[in-house]
Parts: sequence; C-alpha cells; structure tokens
Amino acid sequence: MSEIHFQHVTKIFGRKVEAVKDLSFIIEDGEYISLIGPSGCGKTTTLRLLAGTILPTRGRIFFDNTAMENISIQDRNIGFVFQHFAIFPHMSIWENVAYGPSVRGKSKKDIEHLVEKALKSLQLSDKAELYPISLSAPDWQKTALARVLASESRILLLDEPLGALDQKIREEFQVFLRNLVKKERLTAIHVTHDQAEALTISDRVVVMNKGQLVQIGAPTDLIFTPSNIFTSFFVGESDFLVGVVVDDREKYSEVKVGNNIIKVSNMGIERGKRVVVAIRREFFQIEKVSVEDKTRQDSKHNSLPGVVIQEQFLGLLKRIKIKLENQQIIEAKIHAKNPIHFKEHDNVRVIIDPDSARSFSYPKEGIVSALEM
Amino acid sequence: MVKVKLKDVTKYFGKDRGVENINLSIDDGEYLAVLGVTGAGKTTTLYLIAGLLSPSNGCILFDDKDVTKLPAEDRNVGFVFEEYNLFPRMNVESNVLFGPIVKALDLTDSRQIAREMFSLLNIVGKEQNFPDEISGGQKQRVALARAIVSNANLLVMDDPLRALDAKIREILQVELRKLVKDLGLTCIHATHDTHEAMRVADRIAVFKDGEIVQIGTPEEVYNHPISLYVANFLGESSQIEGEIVIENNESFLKNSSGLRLKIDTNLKTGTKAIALVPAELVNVFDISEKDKINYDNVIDAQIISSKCIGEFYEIDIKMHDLTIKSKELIGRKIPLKERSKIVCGIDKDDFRIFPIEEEESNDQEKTTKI
Repeated sequence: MSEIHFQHVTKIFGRKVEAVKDLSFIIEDGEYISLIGPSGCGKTTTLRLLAGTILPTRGRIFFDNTAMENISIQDRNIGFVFQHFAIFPHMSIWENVAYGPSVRGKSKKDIEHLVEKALKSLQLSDKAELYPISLSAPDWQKTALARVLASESRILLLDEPLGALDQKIREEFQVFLRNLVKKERLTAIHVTHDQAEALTISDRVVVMNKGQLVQIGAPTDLIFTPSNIFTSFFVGESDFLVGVVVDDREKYSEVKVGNNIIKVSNMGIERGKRVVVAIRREFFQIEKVSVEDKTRQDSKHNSLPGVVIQEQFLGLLKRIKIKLENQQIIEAKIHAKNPIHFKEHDNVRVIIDPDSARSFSYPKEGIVSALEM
Repeated sequence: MVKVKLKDVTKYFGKDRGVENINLSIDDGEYLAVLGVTGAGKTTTLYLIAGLLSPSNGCILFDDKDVTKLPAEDRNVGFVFEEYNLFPRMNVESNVLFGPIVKALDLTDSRQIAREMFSLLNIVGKEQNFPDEISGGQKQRVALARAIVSNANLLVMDDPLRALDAKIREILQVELRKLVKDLGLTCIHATHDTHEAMRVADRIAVFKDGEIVQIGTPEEVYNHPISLYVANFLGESSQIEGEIVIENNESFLKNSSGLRLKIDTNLKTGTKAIALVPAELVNVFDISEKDKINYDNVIDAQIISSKCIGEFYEIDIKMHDLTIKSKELIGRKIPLKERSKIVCGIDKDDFRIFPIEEEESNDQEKTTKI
C-alpha cells in the first residue's frame, strides 16, 4: 500500500520564494500521476518534497497515514529515475541493479533473487554482464528502473525520464513504462514538460502554475472539461472570447460577444456577469458564407461571423486564422483533408459547439494576468 | 536580406562525415527549416553557413559573393543556439548590446533597436535582470534579440526551442515566424520536430546521414515524400505490404489477407510494394455511415483501442489482419469504444507507395526497439 497525501504543503525557499503554495491532494495506491506546468511552476519541488530531499515549510505529507517529516530519504522506500541516467558507468548492469538491495544489507541470496527478477521484468537478463557504455539510452533508463524494482520501492518518482530519448523511441517507452508500473503495482509520480506524454501515460494529471495546483483530473477531463482559464490555456490550445451572460437556462447560458449572442455550457455564472468563454481550437467549425449571408442574422447556427486572414497547412491539420467582428483573432484547427480551401478575405461563420464552450467568471486581475506563467 | 547558396559543400571531421555534397539555395527573405534526427548534419550545415566551421570542399555564397574564407565575424550572421549561450555575468541589456559594442556600431542607434526588439519580443522590463533570473522562454527571446540587433541580415538558429516547455514552444514558433517576416530576414532554423518545421518554414530541407534527402514546401514534402524514410519521419503512419495489381486501368495493392486497396501509382502489375498511410488520413466513421461516405476505399474495421493525446485521438484499428493507426481531431464525434464496428475511409492518393526494393536500399536507419 502506498497512498500519498499532501496536506496544505507550502515550501518557501530563502525568505519569500514560494515554490509550492498550499498543495493538497491525494495520490491513490497504484495510481500513475503526472505533474505538468510551465518551468518554475513547482513540479520538481513537489517531487523533491515527496522524496524527502527538502522538507515542507508548512503542511504535512503522509504515506499511508504515516507522517513523513521525520522519515529520512532512505527510509521512504522511494525509487528515482531522472532524465540523465544516474547509473554507475564502472559497474555492469547486474552490479548497478544490485546496488540498491546491497546497501540495504540484504543477504547474497536475496540480492541475487531480487536482481534476477528485476532484470527479467525489464527484459535485461541477457545484458546483465554488459557495461553501460555498450548499451543504448533506453537500456540505461531500463537499468535505472530495474534498480528501483530490485530495491523493492513501492513509489516511483520520475523526473523527465524520457527527456533524452528521440521522439519515436520515447513514444514506445511511454507504453512500456505505464505497463511496467501497472504490472508491478507501483505508485508513480512523473514530471514532464511534454503534455502528450502526460496525457498518454497517466491515470490523472496535475496541472500546476506558480506553485499552486490549478486542476487535477483524468486526461480527458483536462481536455474536455477544464475547470478554469489556465487549464484551458495550458493544456492544448484554446481561444478566449469575452462577453456578458444575457440568459441562463438549464444546460446552456447565452453570452453576448460583441454584437452576437452565442450559446455556451452553463457553468453557474449569473446573468449580467462578465465571462470568458474558452473554446478549444479543434472544436470550431468553419463554413464559408456569401456576402449577403454575412449581414443576415444567423439564427440556425450557434455561430459568430468572421473573415479569414490565413490558411496554413501543417500536414496533420490545417490552421485557419479568422478575424471576428469584434476584431479579435481566433484560430481554428481543421482536418488536413478538409476539401474547402479558405482564402484571405473569405467571409465565414465560426460555428461553436455549446457543449465544448466553457464559460468562466472574468478574472479580477484580467485575462493576461490569469494566464501568466 | 541576403541570398545564401551552398555549392557541393562537404565537411569531414577526421574520417567522420559531417555533411556531404550539400547543394542548397535559400532565397532572400526565405524561412528554411532544416529537419532531421540527431546526427543528420543539421548543426554542421548551420556552423558552415555561419562560418564557425570551414568546409573540407565546396563553397558558400552570400548574394553571389564567395564567403567560404570569410571569418564568422564578418559574415553578418546572427546565431541562436539551443542552449541560449547568454553571458551569465551580464544583464539582459548588456547581453543584447554586446555585438554592437564589439562591432563599434553607433550605440544610441543600437539601444533604440534593442528597445524595439524588447518590445517586439515581449521582454520589456527585464533589461536589468541577469540570465538566471529569467525563464527559459525569455532567455531564448534575449538570445534572439542579441542575434538580430547587430544588423544581421541572416538569422541562423540551431534547434532554438528544443529546451522549452511545449506551450512556450508553440507560442514562440508563431512569434519567430512573424518576427522574421516582419524584419524581412533570411532565416535558417534547424529542428528535429516535424510539426515545428511545418509551422515556421516556407521550405523544409530533410537531412539524413549528412545529406539532403528532400527539399520542398511543407505541403510538397508532406504530400509527396520521396522515400519511405522521409514518409516515416514526417509522422506516424501505418504500412501495408502487398503486390500491385492493375485492373481496368486502375491500380490496386493486394495483400496476403485479401485486403484490396485502390491506390495511385505508376508501378507495374506484380511489383511488390509498401503502401504507407499517415494516421491523420485514415478517417474513422460509425458503421451506420458506410453508405453515406465517399472515399476511394471504404473498409470495414474494428477499434482495438483509443486514447486522447490532447488535440487528437490516437486510435488503433484492426483491419483484416493488420493494425492501422488513425489520428482524429477531437472536435469530431466518432465511435471510440473498444471493439466498436467502424468503417475507414481512405482516398487512393493518400497512400504513399514505395516499391520494396527501394525500401531496402533507402531505409537503413537503425532503430532501437524497446
């Protein structure tokens, strides 16, 4: 069992650098969690607090209801894997993996058993006698993982573990890593700057900014139902429309944006209040309209009128840059094979799917500050 | 503001090949992306252009003038490195003004240009900060300002966004292209990231083992990859091996499991070939839509698994005895449950066809299997 509980954890470096602020969340036993956020958001500090290399200034961390403040690093039963392979170059793979159990004072027989089991699990058995220099980068990371298993750690901390690998290998390793964690029933906490990696590998993802937890949820929650402006901005790409709520029904609210009214998800914001509507760029649908249609009120669609600025081909998809009537520029991502070509000055209607349009109270500090990283 | 030409440029490091026979013309004001894996020769090419290395053979021309022997400092090239390389003991402003001071340019003018650069690059207010007090994205903006401020008319960037977070990278890709175009600079940008290359560049040069294997606009390179290597490098694809059959003037690829795909090719009947289809061109529909969709190939299939990776769903599909990958933008409503019965629509010109002999000689890339 390795449930981890962060209770109002704050870490202040020096006098006033608050690296982590009032962090509270629970990581369940056997869960795979990723931490994402811009550089300096507190991801690595959180990992170091877990490891015990630094202690919280305030708040407490529990492993299975045991408070960790008086428990040293070596007694926390934690394994680490870093971006830069911390394996000993002068030791064979077997010796590297045996290092953990041997410093823990295990008997020779136990060490042999643990090492062989770990090497088998990582498919390294036939490379046991080799030295790191004759192996590839993925095998170094596998050695580091085998060492964690041989040390019988139940919690695995990963700091950009795939950062040094080429893209294709990285994608294969993501699947491998997740399967390993699940098979060995470890609890894993993985820090990465690669969002796709976090979304692929994890059960839940923690989004952090400026030392605070912004949202925690399943990958699909972060994409489809972000709970705040920052998550909408940071996870994937969204555009933000500013308007005023003019009506609220059960499921949807009506928001006036410029001279137009659009239907968006009702997120409990009262009539008359200013809102920011966040829409992911994949959810815009673009249709060409004639000049006559442009001036006509569009009652059939939930849409905003606009003019195309540019179409950019990107292989995987096309990006269409559009200027709305209120002069705001948005960008729609559409399928690369969409047969319609959009040209500069084309009049279009930007159709909005109300279920995917999330509305949030207009931040007191303004949008730019709310999105500051 | 300068036209760059490389003629038969070769560089060896001792016995090791850096690049071989590079012939490349970059137009005035053009944005060229140099794309390839680690060790493909990208950095060597950039260093040769900037004058940080000299070629073993061949020559380099700027505006038809031979600069092969011209030292780096006289080439007027602004260079941005992956690791920023800012002077840690100088503040942001001194870092940016270092070039103009060394070159003895008019400092009043340079300060004015620097101020404009700070505002263009959104780093106003950081002038007095030291490099370790600003974020990675800001450091790279400072490096960019430093590269441009000394009247550089050619900007050379070696994987400038590699060390940055995904979000900042996306933002800077857009900013970079805009800046280069606004200032009318000629720009060469090396990257290992296909998406980045497509996003920033007018043309892309794909490097492999020290040679250029293909050069063209993003659309050309993507739609008409010259080899299996380039096609695979550009993104995630599925491969189907089979034999070409021509019936009633139409070409098909038949595989051993009875799959028969309509394709577009000049290859003759009986030729063994690989049909490669990028994941994003495999369109997934509910089985009920089978009669409504209009594709050259409409194939029954089944979902094996699907996952959402941000802007796309990545879907593994069982089609006859093959596993095919699909990527669908998340805005579309499609069946995603395991074992759902679906149809796949693929147009014939979406298959990239390569005869198998070519594949064997061209694709010698060593891949490490996990």
